[in-house]
Amino acid sequence: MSATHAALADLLASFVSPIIANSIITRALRQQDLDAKTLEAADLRVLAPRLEAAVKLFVEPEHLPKFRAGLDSMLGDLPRRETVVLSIKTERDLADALGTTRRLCQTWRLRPLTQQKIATVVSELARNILSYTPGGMVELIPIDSAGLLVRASDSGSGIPNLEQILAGRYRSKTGLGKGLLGSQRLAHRFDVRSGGEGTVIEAELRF
Amino acid sequence: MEYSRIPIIKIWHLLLIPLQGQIDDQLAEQLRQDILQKIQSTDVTGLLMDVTGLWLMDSHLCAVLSQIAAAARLMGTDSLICGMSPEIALTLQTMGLELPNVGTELSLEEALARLGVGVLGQRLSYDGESSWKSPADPWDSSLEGG
Repeated sequence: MSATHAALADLLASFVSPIIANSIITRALRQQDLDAKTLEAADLRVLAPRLEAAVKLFVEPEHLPKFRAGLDSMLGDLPRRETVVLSIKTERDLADALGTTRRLCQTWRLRPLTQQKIATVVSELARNILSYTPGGMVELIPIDSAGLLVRASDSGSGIPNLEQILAGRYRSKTGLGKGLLGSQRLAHRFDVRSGGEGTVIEAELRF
Repeated sequence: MEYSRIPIIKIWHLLLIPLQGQIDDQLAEQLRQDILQKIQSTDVTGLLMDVTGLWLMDSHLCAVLSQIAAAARLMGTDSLICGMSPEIALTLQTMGLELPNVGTELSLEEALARLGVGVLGQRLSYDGESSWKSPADPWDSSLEGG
């Protein structure tokens, strides 16, 4: 058992029984493919969302902030945020991209509403790529400590009626177009460059 | 043939659909067919779509749910959505997305009440228009009278 593992077990034991504490840790480790013997403080960041979700089941809501604070104090510095590139070609890619986005938001410990907004923008932009172009990609680019740039690019034939869509005057039967307008409303800054050679959409979200 | 992993549960005169996980195009299409078939083969009058199990609702999913509701309406069945999280509700509101053809309720209990299912003793009545009303509690009136 590593020192980190022991400290984690101690923390959990002050909220739940030792048996439950042990099974929560074991399960979280297994889900993330981590080993108890080599567990380090850096691993806790990936483990934290899993632990929190599990502890929620056993602990009264009013005790949760205390557990979170205890966990936070063990986490150490935030990992460097790096750009993530998600290629979008099939429905499967879309599902994977959303899963990745969600895990990333959790690792960065963003507020639930912020997570929701980011994931929704990724979903809207990725779906447009899927529906209207042969394929493309979505990049998640950290800007500073409180911002994320979602950049969607494709080599499709561009967006017709772009001006009308973004002004909210466009009504399509399929409901698409609403996704683009909605993303613009969710974003702090929104920029579309679209032409015959493809489209690049940038949506900046603040935390 | 692959079956939808989303169950369609008949309770009394209602169909309950606990939506969960990722809903892609194929699953949405399957779900629409299954629901409409079930409406035809049973004598349900209400469709309840519970979104508690969803962590994301985008414009595409809203369109899918509205389309299902519109088709159900043509078959004489009203639809309600319940169990929306505050985060999803706020996001949809910011985006300006609406759910045409569908009513919304906070929880499954409230949605059931609106579709005429309640706990005995708190009977609900239908006022003939568009909303379900709970009649005054008989205990109150009897106490006031006495």
